[in-house]
Order: sequence, then C-alpha cells, then structure tokens
Amino acid sequence: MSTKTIGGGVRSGRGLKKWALLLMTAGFGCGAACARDTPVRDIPVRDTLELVLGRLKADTASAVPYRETRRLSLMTSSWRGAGVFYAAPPDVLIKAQQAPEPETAAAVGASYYFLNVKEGRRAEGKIADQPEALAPITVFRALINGDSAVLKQYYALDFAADAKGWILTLTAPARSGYRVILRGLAGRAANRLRLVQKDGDDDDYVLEPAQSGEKVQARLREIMAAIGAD
Amino acid sequence: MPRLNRHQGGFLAAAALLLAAAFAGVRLQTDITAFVIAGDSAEEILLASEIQSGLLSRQILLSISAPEGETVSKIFLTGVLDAFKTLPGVADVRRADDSRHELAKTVETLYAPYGGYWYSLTPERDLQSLLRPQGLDERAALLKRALLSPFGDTVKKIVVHDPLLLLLNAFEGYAAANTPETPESRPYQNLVLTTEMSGLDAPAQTRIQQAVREAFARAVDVGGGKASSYRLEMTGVPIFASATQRLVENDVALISTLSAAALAALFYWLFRSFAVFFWVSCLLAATFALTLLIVNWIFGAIHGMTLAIGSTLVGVCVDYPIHALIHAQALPTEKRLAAVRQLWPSMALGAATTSVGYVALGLSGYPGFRQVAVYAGSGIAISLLLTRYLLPYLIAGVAMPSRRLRLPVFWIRLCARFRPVFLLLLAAALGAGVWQLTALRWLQDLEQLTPELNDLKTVDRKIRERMAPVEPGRFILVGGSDDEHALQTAERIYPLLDRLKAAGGLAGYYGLYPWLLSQKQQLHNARLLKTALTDDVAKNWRRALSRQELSTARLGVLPYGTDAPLAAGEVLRSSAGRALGQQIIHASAKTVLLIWLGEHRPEAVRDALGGLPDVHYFSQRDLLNQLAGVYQKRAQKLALLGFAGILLLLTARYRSPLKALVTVLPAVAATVMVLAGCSAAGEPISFLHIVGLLLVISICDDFAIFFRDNPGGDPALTYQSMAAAMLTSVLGFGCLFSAKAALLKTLATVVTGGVLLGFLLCPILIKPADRPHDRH
Repeated sequence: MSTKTIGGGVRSGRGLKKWALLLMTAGFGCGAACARDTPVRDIPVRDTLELVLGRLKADTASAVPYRETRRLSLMTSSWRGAGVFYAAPPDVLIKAQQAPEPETAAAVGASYYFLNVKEGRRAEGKIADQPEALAPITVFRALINGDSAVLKQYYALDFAADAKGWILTLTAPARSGYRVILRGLAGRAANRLRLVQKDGDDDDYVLEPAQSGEKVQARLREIMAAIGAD
Repeated sequence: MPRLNRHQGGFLAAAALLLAAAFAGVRLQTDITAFVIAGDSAEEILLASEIQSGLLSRQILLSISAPEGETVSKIFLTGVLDAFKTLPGVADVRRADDSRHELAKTVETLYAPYGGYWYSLTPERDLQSLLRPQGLDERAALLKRALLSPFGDTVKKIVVHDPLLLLLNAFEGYAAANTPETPESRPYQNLVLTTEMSGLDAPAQTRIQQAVREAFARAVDVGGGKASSYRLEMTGVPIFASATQRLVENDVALISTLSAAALAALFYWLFRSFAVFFWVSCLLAATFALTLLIVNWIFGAIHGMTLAIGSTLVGVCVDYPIHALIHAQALPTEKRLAAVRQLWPSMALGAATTSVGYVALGLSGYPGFRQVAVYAGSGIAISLLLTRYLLPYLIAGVAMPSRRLRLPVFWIRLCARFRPVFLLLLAAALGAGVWQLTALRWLQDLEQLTPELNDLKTVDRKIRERMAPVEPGRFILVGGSDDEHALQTAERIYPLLDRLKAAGGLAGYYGLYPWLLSQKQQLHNARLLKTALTDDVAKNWRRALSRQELSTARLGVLPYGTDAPLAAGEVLRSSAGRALGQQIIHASAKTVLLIWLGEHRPEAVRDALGGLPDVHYFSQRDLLNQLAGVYQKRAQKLALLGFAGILLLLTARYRSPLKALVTVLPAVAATVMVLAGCSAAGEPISFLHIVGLLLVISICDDFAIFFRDNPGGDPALTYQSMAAAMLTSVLGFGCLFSAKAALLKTLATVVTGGVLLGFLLCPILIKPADRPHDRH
C-alpha cells in the first residue's frame, strides 16, 4: 500500500504502519469515548473515497432522520426544519419534511413530485425540465448506488480524511456552481450534509444514523402512494 | 370474337380513354365533414378549414388504460413514447399533460420580468386586495414559502424582477384549474400524437394507426406481466377519417359487385343476351367516367358520398337504355334507330323533370349535394344522349329474343278492369297516409345518421373527458383583425364568463390568459400599479418582509415597469406557442381565438355573450344540427319549387295542368305512402330520405310519362319496359341493404319501396283515355 506525500516521495507500507501507529497513540486521549464504543481491533485505517462511498451505498430501502438549517441571503435569519430522508436504490429519493409542517419532495425515476397536504399544493413533472433546481438528485442517486464514475463525470471530487473523520466535497461545474459537502466520523457514514449554492445560500443537514427494515419499507410505500409515484 | 362496327370500335376506344382519365385524374375525398359542413361566418369557415387540414386535424389522441385500481407503468409509457416517435409519418408524440410542464418552465424563462404588466385582468380589484397591509403580509409569507420550496432557485430568479410575486397572481388560477386532483389513482395515461400529413389523408392515416397499434403490441410483449392488461384506444379526426374511408370503400366494393351481378342476371333474363348487358354496361361506364371528370374538374375532387349517392343514379340512367332496348327488342336492326327516336320526346321530358329535382337538391345548401346535383345532371344528360344517338348503333346486329313479362300485363289489365275499386282503396290508403304524416318527425341530431360509428364516438367522448374537463366541440370563437384586437375582445369576455361561472351556468373555461394578454391590458396594469405603489405601500411591504424574516435590503425595492410589455408574437414563438397553437388560428388579416368551455348550458353562454361583435358561441354538434335544420327547411321549400318546376314542364308538354297533375300523381302517392310508412315506424326523416324520395319522384315521373305517352304505341310493351326499369332500380337499390352504412340502408328502403309503389300505381291513377296512343 502506498500514499502520496506533499514532498512527492513514496513511503513504503512498513513506513505507513509506523506513522499510523503513532497517530493512533496520539489520538487515544481525545478518542476515548469513541474507543469505548469501538473495539480496538475494529478501528479502521484512515477512510478513503472508495470506503466512504461503499458505506454510503444503500443496498436496501433506508431512512435517515435529519435536522435542517437553511441560510438564504434573502432571509435575515436561518430557517430550521426536520424530517426523514428515504432512499431506495436505484432511483428513489424522498425528503419527507415533518417540521415546521409536513411536506414531501421526491424523485422517482425521471419524475419529481411535491406534496404539501396542509396547503393543498401538489406538483409533478420531469426532472429534466428543472435541471438546476433538481441537480443534486444526480449526486444523491450516485451516492446511494455507490457510483463513483457518475460522480466523477459531473463533479470535481475532493476527499480528505483524518483519524477523526472524513469530508467529501463535490463541486459542480462553474455554470451551476453549487457544492455538496458530506462529512462523517472516521469509519462511519455521513452525519452532516451541506448544499452550498453559487450565490452563497446554503442548506445544512445534521444526519442521524440510517435505519432500514420492514417498517422503513412500509413507510416508503405509503409515501410513494401519497405522492402518486409508481 | 365478333367483328365490331365502327361505332362500336370508336365507342370502346373512347370509353377506355375516359375510364383511364377518370381513374388517373379524379381525386377522391372521404371526409364526411367536407360533405356536410359549411359555415356562414368567416370564423366558422376558418374553423371548418382548420378542422379539415390544420394542426387539430393532424392530432391523434391516444389513451392507454390499465385495469381499474391499477396505474400504467411509467417505464412502459416511456418505452411506448420512444417507439411511437420513431414511426414513419409521426411528427411528434408527447404526454397530454406535458404542455403544462413546458408552460411552467416558460413562466421562469419568458414571463419573469413582466409581473407588473401581467398580473391581472381586473387590476383595480386585485391591486386593492394585494397592496393593503394584510395582502402584503400574505404576499411576504407566500414569498418565504416559495423561497424555501424545492423550486427556491427559480423563485430567486423571479423576485429580482418581481418581489411581490405578482406573476403568481396571474398563474395561480390556471395552476389550480390544471393540477390533477388524484393523478396517482387514475388508471390511464393520455398521449397526443401529431402526424406529418393531413388528418383527412385517410390512406396515410390508416397506415400510421396500424403502425401505432403494432408498436403498442410489441411494447406489451416486451413489458409482459402487468403490461399485458393495458389497452390502447385512439380518437381524433384521423381515426374518423380512416373509419369512414373503410366503411365507404367496403360498402362501395360490396354494393358494386352485388349490383353488377344482379343487373347482369336481370339483363340476361330480359334480353337473353350478354352482349346487351355488355354494351349497356359500357355505355353506363362511359357515362359515369365522363361525369366523374366533370365533377372533379368543377370541384377539384369528388367525395366518396357523392360517388355513393350519385351511383344510385344508375337506377335512373339505366332506364333510358332499357326503354330503348325493350322497344327495339322485337325489331330488326334497321328499325331500331327509328324506334328509339320515337321514344326520344318522352325520355327527354323524363330526363328534364328528373334534372329539375336534382337541381333543387343542389340548392339545398349541403356542400356535398352541389356535387351530387352536378353529378346527377350531367350523368342523366350524357346517358340520355348516348341512348338516343349511340345505343342503336351499339346493338346493331345483336339478337334480342322477345320476352313477354306476364305479370305487368296482368296488372294493367286488372287495373283497367277494377279501376274504381283500386281508386277507392288507394284513396283510403292515401287518407290514412296523410293522417299518419301528422306524426312525422325530422331528424334533430345528425350524429344519428352514422350509428355504425357509435363505438368510435363513445371512445372519443371517453378520451376527451380524460384529457381536460372541457366539452368537446363546444367553444367560443373570438375574431379580430390581428392578435392584439382578438385578445382585447377575448379580455372583454373573461369577466362575463366568470360571472356565468359564479352563477352556476358554466363549470369552467380555458381562455388565453394567463399565457397571452393584450398590450392594451398590460399597459393599463402597469399604469395602475405605478400609481398604487405609494410610499405607504413600500413601507408596509418592508414591514411585512421583516415579519417573515426576509431581507428588506434585497426585496424591499419594488422595481416594476422598467421593461416594455411582452409581445404576443414572442410568446407564440416560445415553447408556450405549441400548446397555445390549438387555441389560435391565423389566416390572412384575421386571427381567431378559441376559448374552451367546461360543462355548461349553451343558452346560458349565448345569453352571457349577448351580441358582442366578433364573438360566437360555437358548438360543432349544434352547428351541424342547426345547419341540418336550415337545410331541411330549404330542402322542403326547394322540393316544392322543384315539384312546381316539374308540373310546369309537364303542363308545357301536355298543354293541360290537369294532365300534368295526374302524371305526377303516382310519384306523389308513392312519396306520401313511403313517408307515412317511415312515420308509422317511428323513423325520423333526414336529408337522406329527401334524396331517396327525389329519386323516387324522378323514376316514377319517368314511368308516368312513358305510361301516359306510350311512345311505342303498345301499352303492354311500354309497361313491360317500365317493369324492366323498375326491376333494375329495385335490384340496384336493394343491394344497398347489404351495406354497413345506415345512410345507404335508409336510401335502399325509401327507393325500393317508392319505385315499386309508383310503378304499381301508374295504371291505377293514369286513365287509359289520357294516353294518346292507347290501342286497348
């Protein structure tokens, strides 16, 4: 195993092991809480893009509760919301907002759906008709499918990791100019998602651990029926 | 092979040339609307032309249905759409609700800077509500919601020009009316397929429809499982054009074969000679080839219905050769020309009276019947002239053993013997018939004329109801010298329709607003807005923004009225133009707008519109029925005029009005009895009955003239020739009973019944003493 250094040289595998051992020793203090939860033998080596993408990949329907903070330049204070993200490979993505009021936005196949029961608002259309507004869908679909090729085709990927965690930044071409930033603790899936618009507006999500199982699948079916998706 | 004389050879060559010319040069039309639709106003004429050749006519509406409770898979739908797009002759295919999404996109790209011009049709009222403090609070809350929605990026682009989101004021009503309530539960998906060629190009349309069905079947095979329960239904002008073409073609082929075989058998039975049948057939073929060329030359095409109705004239045209042949049958060749010459005055008079009837029919107003009148007039004249001047030479040398028909001879003897009894019986029957006529009713709904297309009509209604909650074929036509004037007129109508909607007379309507607005209204809106945006309003707006935690620095300035108004041409060139294309018809120096209507009471809409100039409530079905009513009244008047014309001709010939009247009596009595029969059977009378009765009068008049004139001097022989003519008519028209088209069956009933009655009544009603050459 080898890794590039700033100096451009190549350390041997034996050298890296020494360097990691030193780092782990140094981190024992601050990582104590974590160490209690994670047996010493399971602490992974430093995360890589492939490892993270593999972790983000959903093999089955999953649900991720979130808390959202949106900062818009047209607003004088942040807006806060909460809800659950649902994902089912290959192409189902649902944002089921629960607070401050229930609202569902979904991408299923080539179509998008929007439903706000309280206000009686419903929309349905082709994703291709709203390329800018719905561009992040490509990112998240590639993520849940673990498709790094698609990600690399449309976004510049910047991945960094250390003993505490990892950060993945996806930057769309300058024309649309938004960024998707994913963070996670070392060896874990993402716990933070941030969407940054070209004009600086951003949407910050704190993600809780993913859930899956029969209940999630049943809820997913209910939501899809409510929005009119197949 | 027998040697041909020079007349026969020359005639055969000429007939072949005529047939070839007719075959190659005549253009056949099969669209029923072209046969019966005509408009009185410029808008109606324009619309009729649009229906026949415009975008509306080229669209096939397709509906794919899943079993109740299920939905059509979107993957299947995408596959089918892709398959249809590649079919030859298909210009475009899309989901029926796609235009809504395209229009939504246009709002962002085209309309965003024009919120201050575009926001309302009733700016005085709307501004009052929008700009009061509470209205501004609501606006700010709406703005916040919009910014936080998944479409926040689009909203950010709009608020640069329109912080109050005035544009939404224009489009929210449209959006509410067009958002399907339960799209997830509907068991169907609708598609709109536009063809490259005219909807009335029936052969090409039939090929496309077949290709569509095959592509759908392939997609079902590939999809398997759930897809195998999907059904495809289609409607639109092209579907009806193809169905009508199939109907007409099948009927024409069947009837032609049957009637040709029946007439050949009859001729052989009458004349024991196939040669006679051959020469008469050639004569009739030449007659109709020349007639077709004349009609095609005058009208540019001949309609299938003209051909079908006109072909029944064989029944009239064949009578002249039959009279000639029967009278020449027992004579040597050299005397045949003289015998035919002897018949000429009676034949000419018969032809003249028949032509008068058809000229009257041509004036009745049905566009197709003008063709029929020309077809009939020229056919009768050509047939008559060929009989007089050519037939004797064609049958020169042809042996025609004489055959006495016993039944006709028996009948005239019986009538002569018991005339008073027959007259009494006839008077009683006629009295009962006339009494029965009081219950006679006219057909009110032209759709009843084509019950064989009922299945297609049902599918048509079902699919159109699925497409949009509008009443198919009913709308408001708004005319103007250009787009601007037409839009201004339309904008005067919207408030009237809104009031009618509020009063319950109209479920909804689809005008051109919010997609198109006149420059006049836009400038009016902008002027009022500028006046209304006072310092107080600006202050209240900033306060409302603050309450919603929105930036007063970014959204507090109201930048309205900086651009010029949006031109209609620009909208029509945008992607909105394609969807709006179905509601705008452009012609030279004329724009016609269509306002679609939801469920409504026609009289309420007409009342609401009052007498606004350039505005017409249009109901395709009502228009057709109204036209039918007008035509029927005209037809009644013209039938009377035609009858008067026939009487005049006969009076001039016989120099006695009484004799003229007696001559037409068999035809009149037959007509009354046929009508009484229809009335007793509860059958409503349509223009087809009039056509049939006109034929009855024409044929029976010829009988009566022959019977009265007795040109051969032998009443038994004359009555035999009449019997032969009657048999050809009854056989020819009887073959129409085998047709699928109800129209042709009606014609068959009327003509066979009428001709038989007219034939039987001649010896009862026309006294022997009235016949100048009676030798009995």
